[in-house]
Amino acid sequence: MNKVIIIRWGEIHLKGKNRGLFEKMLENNLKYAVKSFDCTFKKVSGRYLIKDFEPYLTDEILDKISKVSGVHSASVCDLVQSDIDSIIKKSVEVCAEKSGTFKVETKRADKNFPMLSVDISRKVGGEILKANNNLKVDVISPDFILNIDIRESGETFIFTDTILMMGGMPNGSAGKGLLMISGGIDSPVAGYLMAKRGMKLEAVHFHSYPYTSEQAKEKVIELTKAVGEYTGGIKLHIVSFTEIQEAIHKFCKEEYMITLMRRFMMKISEKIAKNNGLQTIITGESLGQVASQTIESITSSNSVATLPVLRPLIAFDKIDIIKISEKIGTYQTSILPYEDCCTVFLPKHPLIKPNLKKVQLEEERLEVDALIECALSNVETIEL
Amino acid sequence: MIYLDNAATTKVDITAFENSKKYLTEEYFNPSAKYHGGICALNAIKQAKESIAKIFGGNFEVIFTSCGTESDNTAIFSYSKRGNVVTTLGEHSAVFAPLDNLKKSGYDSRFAKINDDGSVNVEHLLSLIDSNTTLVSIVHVNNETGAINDINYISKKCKEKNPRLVFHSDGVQAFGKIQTKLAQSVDLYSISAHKIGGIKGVGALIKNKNLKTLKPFIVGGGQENGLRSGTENVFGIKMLEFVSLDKAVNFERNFNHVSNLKKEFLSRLDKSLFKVISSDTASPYVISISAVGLKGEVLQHMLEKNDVIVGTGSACSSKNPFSRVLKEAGYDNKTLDGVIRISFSFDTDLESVITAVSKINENALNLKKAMYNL
Repeated sequence: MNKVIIIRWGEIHLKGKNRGLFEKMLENNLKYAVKSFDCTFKKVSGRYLIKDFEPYLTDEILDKISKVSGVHSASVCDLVQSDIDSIIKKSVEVCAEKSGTFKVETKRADKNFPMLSVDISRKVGGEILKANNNLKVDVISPDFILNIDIRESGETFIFTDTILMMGGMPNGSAGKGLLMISGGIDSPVAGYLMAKRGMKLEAVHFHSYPYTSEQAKEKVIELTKAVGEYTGGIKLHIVSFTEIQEAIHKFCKEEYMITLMRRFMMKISEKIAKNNGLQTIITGESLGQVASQTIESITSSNSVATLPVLRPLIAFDKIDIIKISEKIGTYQTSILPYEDCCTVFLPKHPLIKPNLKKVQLEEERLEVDALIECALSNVETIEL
Repeated sequence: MIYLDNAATTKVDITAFENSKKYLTEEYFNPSAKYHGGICALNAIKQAKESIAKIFGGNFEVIFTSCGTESDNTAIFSYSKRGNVVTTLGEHSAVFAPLDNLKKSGYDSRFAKINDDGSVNVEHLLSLIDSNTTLVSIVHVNNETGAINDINYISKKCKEKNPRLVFHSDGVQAFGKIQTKLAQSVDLYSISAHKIGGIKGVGALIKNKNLKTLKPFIVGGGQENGLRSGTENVFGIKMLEFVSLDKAVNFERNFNHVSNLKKEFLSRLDKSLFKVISSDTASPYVISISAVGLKGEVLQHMLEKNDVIVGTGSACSSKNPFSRVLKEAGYDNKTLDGVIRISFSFDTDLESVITAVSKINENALNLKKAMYNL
């Protein structure tokens, strides 16, 4: 009846002398992910094991593990004592409902086991064939592989499926960044991708109440929470952008609204990042997707930043971003129709290729520092 | 806080709540149970049915449901198996959506045009009725504009064209607020508790006793004479009874009070900023106005910051930006974008309305200045 989940890591294998550090980080992240379950967690050579849990919790535990970056794959195994009769009995049971072609692969870490791996595979395979007429052996390209893993501990793991997990590097192993999150499809995906590469995240959102709604803010909180599931929780900084938008609307040319907004957002984000010890700013920009994401627009907003600005989606097509968004469960929330930027102030014809010098001149009409100070003095921060 | 979104929902009536709560804490028995407590609970429901039925005049009985939407759906799905159903473009979604869905799947749902105040164009409605019409469903008071459809008159006209059709009306915004004595030509009438001080999750379908063909929408243990199964919410039903009786007894006083609120509100409203959509003959409980050229939702948020809660006819939404009903009533996008809805309750006081209208004027002006750099 016993089940065990084997968890394998991915790219950590490539690490050299500091590999232990990454392994420890992944271990801590995994322990944190399953801390609410009644189970035991064990590190064995080259992998982690989760044992002693109620079988009905298997899917829930797998779901949690699927959100831990650095995990390459997992398998749910049956656990039996390392004797050939138990191994055969369980293997026959595991294959009872299956059909098609298969092969048996045995790994024998316990060299004291009295049979060779190849003999075990042959013996078990023969017994499975006797018990199930719907199966045939195919050692070249089988429909499934029955894996028998005989451990030194006197236990044997038997499993057929390997589930691919998130991949990437352990969260926290690649520094800390500030994700600029809107209510759209892209920015949560950008956050997810950076989390996948091991970056710890905080997020910043700009809202313009009363020009945008409380629902739009709630939507962003939901999206940030979803991203936070990949980073072991996340902090969201909410900045009121109303006064800045009003000022730009009042003093600057209509078509500069979005260009100037982006520069303000970047400046405020950088201050928040620096105040919170974050090393980079992350945006969901994708080249040419909208007017504010042309190379000229990006140049305009990028020029106010001193921290590196990472744009993991820069070369992604929208359709590919949507696919990831669906995979990480943010798509349905992203498409809720609450706009994060009210149409009240949006220009009919925004600048597509802003000229940096002209943008700077236009910006000089505003008391930039005072507006930024004011926005920063009213930041609402929530732990999600 | 000044709450002027009573067409969305109302505060619970405290007296009715106090008088009903024993049905949660002491007389909590299942009305289907055969022991004394159960029988008492069933009697309490019977009493509520009688009291509420009387409000509608002679020959009606009450089927308790979970909400106005369920009442509407019960009527619609009972009579949309064959023939055609005629309704209006001014219906609440509880009627519009099921009939629109049926139309999309091939059923002959027919939608009558509406006038600019949201009331039905009766001539067009009658032209849609033929010998195959099984049901006509018309909202009594439009939930966005307050426009009143004279359902007693319209139902008679409909039955002159086809005496076999069943006439239903959604009375959710009418019951307890305007006169709801029903003519014998009305067969079914939906009401909801939480619009008049009852709790959410309780409604009723009022049924003409002569109507024998109604089919249940929810089937199970056979409660409500088999027309609506499911253990009855005795507490909620008693609250509905108590608030209904109170509204019936105090009808004139409440109506005059709220009519005065409407008059005062409209007289103080800055007409250079607002267009009034609701007509003079509309229910005084609902006033639809538009800050033409401004954004209704933004104004709603600004007012909320100033402790005034109003409803909105549109949302800052790219998908469904405008009110379906007002669009059908023929308003342009600039008007539709600026719509807010003010709705009163029996206990809304004049002082609050005067404060609110001045804040509405002030905030609309501020928004106009911000939007147009005045």
